[in-house]
Amino acid sequence: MQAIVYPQPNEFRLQDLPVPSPGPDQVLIRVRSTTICATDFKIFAGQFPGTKFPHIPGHEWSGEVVEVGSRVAHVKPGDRVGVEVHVGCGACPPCLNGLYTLCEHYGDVSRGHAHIGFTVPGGMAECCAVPARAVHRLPDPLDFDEGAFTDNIGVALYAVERGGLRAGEGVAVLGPGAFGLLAVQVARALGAGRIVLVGTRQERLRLGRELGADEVVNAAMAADPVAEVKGLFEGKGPQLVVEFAGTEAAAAEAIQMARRGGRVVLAGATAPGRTLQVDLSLIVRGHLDVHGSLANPKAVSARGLELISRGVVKVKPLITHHFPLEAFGRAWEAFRTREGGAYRVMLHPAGT
Amino acid sequence: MKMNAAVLHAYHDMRVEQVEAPAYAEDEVLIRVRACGLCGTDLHIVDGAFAGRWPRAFPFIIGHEWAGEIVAVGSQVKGFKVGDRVVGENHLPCRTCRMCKEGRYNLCEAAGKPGSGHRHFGHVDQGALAEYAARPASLLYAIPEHVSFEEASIINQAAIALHGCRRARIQPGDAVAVLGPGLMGLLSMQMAFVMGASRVIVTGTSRTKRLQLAKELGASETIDVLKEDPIARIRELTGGRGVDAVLECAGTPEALRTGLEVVRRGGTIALTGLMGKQEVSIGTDRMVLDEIDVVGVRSGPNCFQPVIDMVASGRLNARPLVDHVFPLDEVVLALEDFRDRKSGAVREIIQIWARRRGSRRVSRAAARGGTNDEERASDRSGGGHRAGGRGGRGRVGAAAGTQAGGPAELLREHLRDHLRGGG
Repeated sequence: MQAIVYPQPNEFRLQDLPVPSPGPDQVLIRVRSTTICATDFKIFAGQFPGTKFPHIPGHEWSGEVVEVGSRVAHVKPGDRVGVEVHVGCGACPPCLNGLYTLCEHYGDVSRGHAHIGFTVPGGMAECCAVPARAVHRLPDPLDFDEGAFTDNIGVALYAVERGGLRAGEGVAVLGPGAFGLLAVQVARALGAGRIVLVGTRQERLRLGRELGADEVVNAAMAADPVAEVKGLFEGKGPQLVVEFAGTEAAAAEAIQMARRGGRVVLAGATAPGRTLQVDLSLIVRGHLDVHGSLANPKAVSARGLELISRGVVKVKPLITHHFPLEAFGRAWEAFRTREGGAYRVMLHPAGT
Repeated sequence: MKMNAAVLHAYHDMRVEQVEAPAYAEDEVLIRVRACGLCGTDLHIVDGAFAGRWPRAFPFIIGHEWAGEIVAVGSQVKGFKVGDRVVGENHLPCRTCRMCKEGRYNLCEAAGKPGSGHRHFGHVDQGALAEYAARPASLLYAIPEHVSFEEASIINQAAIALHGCRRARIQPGDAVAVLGPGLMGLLSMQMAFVMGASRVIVTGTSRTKRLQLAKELGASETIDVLKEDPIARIRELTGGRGVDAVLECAGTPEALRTGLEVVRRGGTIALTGLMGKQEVSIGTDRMVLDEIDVVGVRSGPNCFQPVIDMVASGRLNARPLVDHVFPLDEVVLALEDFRDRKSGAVREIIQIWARRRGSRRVSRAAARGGTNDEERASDRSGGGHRAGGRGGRGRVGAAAGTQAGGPAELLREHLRDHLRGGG
């Protein structure tokens, strides 16, 4: 099979490799749609601690089941599936609680842990063998491109649920990337009142409006973006702020704009070493709940796929480019340079 | 390797005999079982109340409330070694279905589906009423040195008590009613205090000493339902308001009806007891108008480690609950002891490796005093010998029913009928 391989950091090549055979608890999937995400830059650069080279990337993808291991019962060959990338050992306390994203044996393949496309081979290949518990059957209306959002939609849905959104509440979403635009739609689907999307690129903010944001605030152009957002909520700010911008400044602003007694979910700034500078009284005297939110535990992706399948969350507008696998280099550049307003570039290893 | 085991050859036909010790897979350990409690479910399995389901085939070894020490580990086992003292969960979940992934693995969707990887030890897969048992290492938890195997054997039940209190959302300052002073009730009462309840009221009958024991273990009030109307009394004790939460641990229609009357507006009733397929007639208006939450409690997911810590720190007192011990040879006697309840035992514990001539039953004082077999063997004053000698082989439960009309018998009869209906 053809696969994109990073032989070492900052280098990739298209390589012919034997098709992996699934272990007893694994499924072999023919990859149909697979995308590149900003985290792939870190993995490529050798900045993701758990990645060992040579490495096959790819952590947002879907395909069809080709073969299942002897102990796999819930999917069969021919099933169309999407993949969530965190697979825990299953037996440590966080895993047993459903928080397998926090597995205590991260990176330990011998205990069954897998972070697909990070610590183990991913889906930037014609075929990929993954633990069966990573796959979700795609609801019938979904095509493979939509199925490639299995992981992403779970991340967005989990962040909004972390914030305990109640119908009718005001919401601000910071960061109009793929996750932010999904979060806007999830908040809408969950009954949010006014939704304000904050970002710096007019074009993305415009798309956010189309996808359900009531107002947008361009933080690059506003004199005081925090005041501006608060002003859209009677000067008090929204009850829930979801940050998917991934910067320290945005995280601080998220806390600054939240209504007293409200909730803030920080889900974007995941790189180590980032620090937050914020007036603590805003949190203490403001009686804020500030939540960190990592990835998509508790099978939340399964419910996220239902939202896509019901049409209340649209992912197609986020897909801007299509490439065959051998055009990985071109796809990479298109995504990196945001060529033509690229959000998600979709590669199709098994053809389109 | 041969071992002694309590083997069920058919319903009512349990024999202590030599069988091959189980093989252990590469991800499993072999455990020398040291203590194994007998539970109501065991009695039902022996009686055939779950025929065709638990177990699926004979010969079968029951036993799911156990503690022991590891004597061999499979090649893939990590985190455990020979000599570790352990207890274990009985459900091996699939870890793949939605329920498992959401952290509610007690509700694994693969349960009961052959070939799914789900296993249920002591019910479908071989249990622990034997000198040795093989278990996946992923189900095990270490227990500290100072917790005896007998105390550790009730951790499985205490985990259910914790899960029940969590499901009932007990909060500091709450008033709680525990209905039924059996092992579940006595553990639930203690657990409610651990979670900050300020008052826990226990109901039961004075036919056994369990209400007295509840009092000794800290119950704020006990109510003998044979003498007092528990509804009126609980209302009186709570200034007419009712309790914040009810932990139903009796598994009877009366208890459920009582619970619905004594819980406050907006309160919660957690149901732990099983009633088989028995239909219970209850008025639902109060549930609607007063927004009563009724929640079921199955098993104790995510509860083993906290419960072990509670027993180890003394926050949960297990010792008086494991008050009747028997050697493996006398398992049939122990089952009868459990069945007729005349001994007043809270829990019959089989000491698997106790010497044949060791203790039969020991007084509560002896059980509290220590965990040394010698000590127990020498103190027979409180126990007394049962006529009929060894109970190593025999027809179990055949003579039941001599106390028709007694509460234990009534309960057993209705359970049997309804469980039979449920299959």
